[in-house]
Amino acid sequence: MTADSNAPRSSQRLPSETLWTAWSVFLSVHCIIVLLCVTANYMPSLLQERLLFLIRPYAQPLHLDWNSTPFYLTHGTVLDMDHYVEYRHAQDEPWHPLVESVPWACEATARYFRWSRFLALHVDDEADEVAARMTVAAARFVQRKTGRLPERLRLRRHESRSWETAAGLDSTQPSDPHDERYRVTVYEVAVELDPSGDIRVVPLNPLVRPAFPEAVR
Amino acid sequence: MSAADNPSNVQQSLIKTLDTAWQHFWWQPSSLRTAAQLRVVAALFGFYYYAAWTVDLVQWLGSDGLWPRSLASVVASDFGQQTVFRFSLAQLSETPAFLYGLHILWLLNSLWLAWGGPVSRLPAVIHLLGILSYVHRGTVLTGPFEAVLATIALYVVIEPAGDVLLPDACCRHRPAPSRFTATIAWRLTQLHLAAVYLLGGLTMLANQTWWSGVAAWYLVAAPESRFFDLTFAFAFPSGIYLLNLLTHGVVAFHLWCTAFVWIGSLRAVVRPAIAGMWLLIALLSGQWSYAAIMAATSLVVWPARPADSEPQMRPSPNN
Repeated sequence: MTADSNAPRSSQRLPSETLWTAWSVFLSVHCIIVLLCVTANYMPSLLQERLLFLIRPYAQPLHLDWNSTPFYLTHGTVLDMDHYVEYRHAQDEPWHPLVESVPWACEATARYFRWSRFLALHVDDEADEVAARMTVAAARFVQRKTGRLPERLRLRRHESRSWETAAGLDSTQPSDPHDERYRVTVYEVAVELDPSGDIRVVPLNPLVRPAFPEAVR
Repeated sequence: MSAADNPSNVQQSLIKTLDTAWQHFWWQPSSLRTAAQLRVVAALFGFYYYAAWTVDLVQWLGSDGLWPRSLASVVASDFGQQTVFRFSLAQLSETPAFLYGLHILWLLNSLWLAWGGPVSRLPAVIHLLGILSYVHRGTVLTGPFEAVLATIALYVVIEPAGDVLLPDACCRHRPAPSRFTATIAWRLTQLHLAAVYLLGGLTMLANQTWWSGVAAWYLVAAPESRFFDLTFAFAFPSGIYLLNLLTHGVVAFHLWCTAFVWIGSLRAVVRPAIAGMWLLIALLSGQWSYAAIMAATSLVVWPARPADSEPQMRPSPNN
């Protein structure tokens, strides 16, 4: 930290011995907790999980436990690829994007891709309640936005073309990155109203399953 | 055996050295300007974060939103199997009036915090509460940017440095007083940020994509989420070498920063590297918010000139 040569010296009284000790204990414990949370962010061991469980009354409220936040930017797996959700109102109508991206607010756009990625993480299990609840929420959202319940919702993955294809070394794949063959439907549901008027979703088969956790190489 | 070779003397000397180092690291009162700059970074990035919620607040957090309260609770608690300590004001109601009322309060508060003033700890606490409320309400919607923002906002509460107003924090108009709490906030941010660099570097190396030098391609080739299409820069046979260089460079940068930011004499090299590499990472990945907050915070907490003030040791209990 820079210190101004002509700056006034400390305007704050140094703490008493007791306060000094208390601060030192707090800083030591806090730094240990930070170290634990950071090292347990990715593939924690059972010991780390147990310790994280014990410290969560302190770590969770302050968001010190980052809970698998991807600081690695990408691992090149299918889950790291772009996912998005589309809906349609009838069989003869086109598919519409669930959310329009907001170009000026990249954090808002990133939020949508994280939500879609989270859905992709859960569709691997057909009985997964999280995927069902997320698609019901999406159907309700479409109903509020358009005034009509969608007939179908689908989660799609837009796979990246390989470098070899882009460089012209592999002609077996389409060179256009937006070619339809790069878009894979990972999950599709039919949206229905049950007799009580609640929205329910029925997963459709056959589904193209994500290859998670295998890397796409 | 001389007195210096006596094991108890060596032990005492070691303890004294550690004690002095500990005091020097945490307790040397330092200028409030760095703490104020940290406050400005936390406040302005917080303002941006809130502003990015403005257009789609109800779309996500409303009762008919994509991430309703019931779903958030179920996911956070693993279907009620775990007690969760992630308190969020945004969890209290889903009505648009409530959500936007809080939202406007937090937007205005972030501007107040950025400007500073004599009671800056209050807006600092409200700011932290606002960020944590959004982060905890939409845990799965958050990423590295929110993690770093919440971290800085937490440490700004320790020393908001309200005495140094926004113009003085940015333009060095007047000398700033020094406080030991400014040092604590600054050191904690430094340590946490170094941990982020280390975590980034190590988790990259946990996957073969970064070892084999092609991870940069997966960043630039993402067709939906990228900000700019830079694939043309690598789409030729020898472009693979550039991809390899960038991939290895990003990993090396993370690991290199973890260690070398602590050496004051190397900062002349480290600081331009920080600015340049985060710009590059933003261009490659499209994660502009994360890159910007990492660059800004790194440049604030690791300034070009190392500390030149003498440490003020704690007063002796006899005094």
